[in-house]
Amino acid sequence: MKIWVNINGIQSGPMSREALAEMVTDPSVTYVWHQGMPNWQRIDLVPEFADIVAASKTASEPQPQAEDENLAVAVGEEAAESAEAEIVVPQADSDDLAQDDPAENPEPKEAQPQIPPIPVQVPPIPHYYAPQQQYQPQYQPSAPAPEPQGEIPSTYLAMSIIFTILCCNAIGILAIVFSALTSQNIKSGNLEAARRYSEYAALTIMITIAAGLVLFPLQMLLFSL
Amino acid sequence: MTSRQIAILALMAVGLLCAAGIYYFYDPSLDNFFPRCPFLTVTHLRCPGCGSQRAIHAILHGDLATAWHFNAMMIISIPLLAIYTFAEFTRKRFVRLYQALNSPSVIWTIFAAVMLWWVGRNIFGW
Repeated sequence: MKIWVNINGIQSGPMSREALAEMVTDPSVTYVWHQGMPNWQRIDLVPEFADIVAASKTASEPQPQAEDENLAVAVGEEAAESAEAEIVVPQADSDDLAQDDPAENPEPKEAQPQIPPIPVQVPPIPHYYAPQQQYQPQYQPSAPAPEPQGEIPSTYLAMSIIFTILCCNAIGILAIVFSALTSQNIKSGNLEAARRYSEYAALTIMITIAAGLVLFPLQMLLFSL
Repeated sequence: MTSRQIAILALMAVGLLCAAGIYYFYDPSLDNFFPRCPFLTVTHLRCPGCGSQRAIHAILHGDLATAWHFNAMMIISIPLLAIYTFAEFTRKRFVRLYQALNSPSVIWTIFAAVMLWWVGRNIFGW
């Protein structure tokens, strides 16, 4: 299994499980992703890596850093610097974003990092989105762009409106509230909370649909008799 | 567009067509077959969506005035929903459009409008 890892904002991979186990020293700043995971996850929240987390905690002293990892750190720092530069002109290579004024636009961009915001560090911009020349040649772009759908959660606003006004159940209004809360949290950069509210919105919509599906046959029975 | 999005769009189109067919040929104000609003049944108050089915029937027969009378909010929401659907599917291409439409202030405004509509129609009989 090929695993991508992001330690303290520095992304590397793909690597084997063994290589990952060697790299992990502080699980709280280590995020992992592999094919099949919808999104990056902190390693200590992923059950399948529990042994690696446990091993990293029992290690009394920091593990010796491999040479190539030092290299990765050096390159990663540069990547972080360029990430800071990126914030000034995000997505300079994309047409419709070129005219964006980031000062007016503090919200996280769709095209911005897949990685959940990592404390302290500037979140890195994954190399597959950033201009190639920003990186040294040995920093190999290798991770496939994971499906970005989990990235910035949907507000489900259209669905919320449909199930408030077009359909037949007043609880749809709750979904609009959750949409607004999702949007607020996206704006303030709290993606974790935004995802939660996004899920609430989706759940409310599903409950509305389910209630309709249950009530509809009941009504048919009652009123057609 | 991904193949997943195309599949969703196709499903939506088929669903819309079927619904349009049903709402064209059957009149919800005459037919018992159509679901009633549970909120109206229980509270005898109208919810924001009450009248939508009759309004759709009227629209499909080209009678916009009657549709407006049954549920004005729904008439307003149709173009809005078209824009939102467009923005949702072109999220990558038109990032600013999507962000503008899904900003907190816009969503709270929609929420306020729906709440006003809900209260207003029960007081003033809109």
